[in-house]
Amino acid sequence: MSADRVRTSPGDVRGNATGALELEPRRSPFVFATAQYESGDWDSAPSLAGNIIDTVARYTSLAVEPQGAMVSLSSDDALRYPLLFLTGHLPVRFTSQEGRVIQRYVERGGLLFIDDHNHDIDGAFHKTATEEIARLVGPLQPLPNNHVLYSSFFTFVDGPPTTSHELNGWGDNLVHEQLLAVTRNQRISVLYSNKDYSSEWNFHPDNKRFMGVDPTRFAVNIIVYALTH
Amino acid sequence: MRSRIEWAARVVALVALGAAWWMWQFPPSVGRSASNVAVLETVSAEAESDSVLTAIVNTLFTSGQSALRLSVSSVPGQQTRALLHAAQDAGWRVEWRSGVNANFMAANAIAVSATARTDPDGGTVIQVAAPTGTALTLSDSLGWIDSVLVSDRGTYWNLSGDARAFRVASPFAVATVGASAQSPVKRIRLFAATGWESRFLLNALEAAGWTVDADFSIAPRVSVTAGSPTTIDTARYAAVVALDSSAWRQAAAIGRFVRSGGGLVLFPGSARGAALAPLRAGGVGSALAGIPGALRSALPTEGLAFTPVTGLASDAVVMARSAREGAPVAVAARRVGAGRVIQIGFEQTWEWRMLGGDNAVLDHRDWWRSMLQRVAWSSVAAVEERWMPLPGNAAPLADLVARLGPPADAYGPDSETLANAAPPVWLLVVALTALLGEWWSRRLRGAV
Repeated sequence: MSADRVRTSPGDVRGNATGALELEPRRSPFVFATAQYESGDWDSAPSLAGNIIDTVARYTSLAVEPQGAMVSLSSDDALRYPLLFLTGHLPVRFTSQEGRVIQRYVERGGLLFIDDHNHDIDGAFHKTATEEIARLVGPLQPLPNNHVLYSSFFTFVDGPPTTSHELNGWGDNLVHEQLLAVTRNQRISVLYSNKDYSSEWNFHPDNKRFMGVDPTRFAVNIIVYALTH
Repeated sequence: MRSRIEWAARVVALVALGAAWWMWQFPPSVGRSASNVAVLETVSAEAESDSVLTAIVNTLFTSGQSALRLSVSSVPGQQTRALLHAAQDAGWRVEWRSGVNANFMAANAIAVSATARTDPDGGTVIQVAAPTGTALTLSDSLGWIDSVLVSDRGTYWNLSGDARAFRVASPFAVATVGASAQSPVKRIRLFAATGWESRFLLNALEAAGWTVDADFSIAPRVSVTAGSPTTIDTARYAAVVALDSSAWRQAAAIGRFVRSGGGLVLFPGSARGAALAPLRAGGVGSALAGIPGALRSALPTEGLAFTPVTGLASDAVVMARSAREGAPVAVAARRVGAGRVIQIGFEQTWEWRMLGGDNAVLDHRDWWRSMLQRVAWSSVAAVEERWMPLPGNAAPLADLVARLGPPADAYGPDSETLANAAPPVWLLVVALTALLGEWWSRRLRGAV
């Protein structure tokens, strides 16, 4: 601990040019938010949020809220969270109100990250979710594997990291080479994954210490990308 | 015989009186007075036609007069003023007076300035000082742009586009003005911690055309860079935006930048510390929460978290106040050296963009654009401050006064003015003589 910089909570106390200590104002912490929707099973990965929050706190100095949030897509409160995570196994049909909120969310600069918990390109979630996104926002396009998303914090030279669930005999049993995305003004507005990160990141928190490579590192890239682009 | 002479004297007197009345009511446009002064009638600002200029030239050069008096109902146009000024410099005596109303000076005084916007999209801000109630029309080389009725001694237009020359016309004067080319500096240096405010500010400024340089700290020894941050000076940056304490380490460089002409935008998070205190417009008050529901109202900024600017510096100017009780200062500005600093009390403006009304994205962007325009450094300023010997056509009445002096009637009536305004004396003398003769003749012959 150096004499001129002491880290405390909730703010930082740091020295200035004159040597005086000043209280740095508290920054608004990042809140990991999961989207609720009427159809399907939005809460199919209940441990995921806690694991992501732990990862952000572990690898970065970003202020992060220790509790995630769950926010209904039929409410304007969704606009308070410029990064939203959405997952599920079941068919997705957004209500008209949910559709309006999603459109407004994307138009205003939010990033909606959707993960197919089935990892199945012929599955009900994939078919309906991609149809809904195409209807509301625009068609999903393959995201190049050299996109800045893959180097915004950790570097993933081959694009999206493969999950252990892609070849587990369920779903389409394919390794999906690319993520899909809708971009607006050269920014990702909707990020869509068939990789089943919902399963990969939904482990019991105690198990993380037994993993050779933290599988949730890619989540840091998504969050850092959303916060800086 | 005597009776006929008397009848002739009566006719002569009546004709002389009629002619005197006629010449008093309808004086000739250009004439010769007893003192060798040519009088030229109304010169119109709108119709600066060849005929007006020709009349002046003829009066001065072909009729041999040594002086010219103008009776004007509106401010003469630029060419006319220049010609009269040249004639005065060449030795002619040139005077002017208002020919229509006693309130001529107040009614005709308009002045216009045009300043290139310090904005990547270009554009021009046109400011007009004019009497309240004056109808003004604005036009450029392509035609009319707008018309307004001046409500409070002036008005302004904030125009986009590449037009640089403008014409502002009132019923009594026409002013033309040109804006200098804008500065090519289009970069902003942003100091901010990683978060939604910095991210959406980055988006808004880039959407407004600015190139933003920033580095966002993500972890120890890890940062995400936007643009290519470099040394802070006016050759590279138009303004620095300091959202929070991230700017404190560069306080000395920011101070030099501002004093040499750069712009600085301070937020409560950056203004709060001592590092940037010498630059700020005021102190930092206590934080207040946003007013629920206001983000979608006509005053969306009231829905933002708010920290009033308190204890203003002696040279600070209030730019905006909150609608909250006591009207606390929301935005204040001051000059520091050659630069300008604006201090903003609102925080987390990204919530306006995400949660505001239907036009929130554009409103948020334009609000930020206006903040930057108020402080951003521009090389144009140096050009505009050049010394001007005459007001020029940007202020036609002032230009007329500067060239020819104040109106003759501003000093009260003089003998020549009265002589020109009164009916010809010799006609009155003729009438009086005729009447006296007629009366004397009748008295001699005993008639009643």
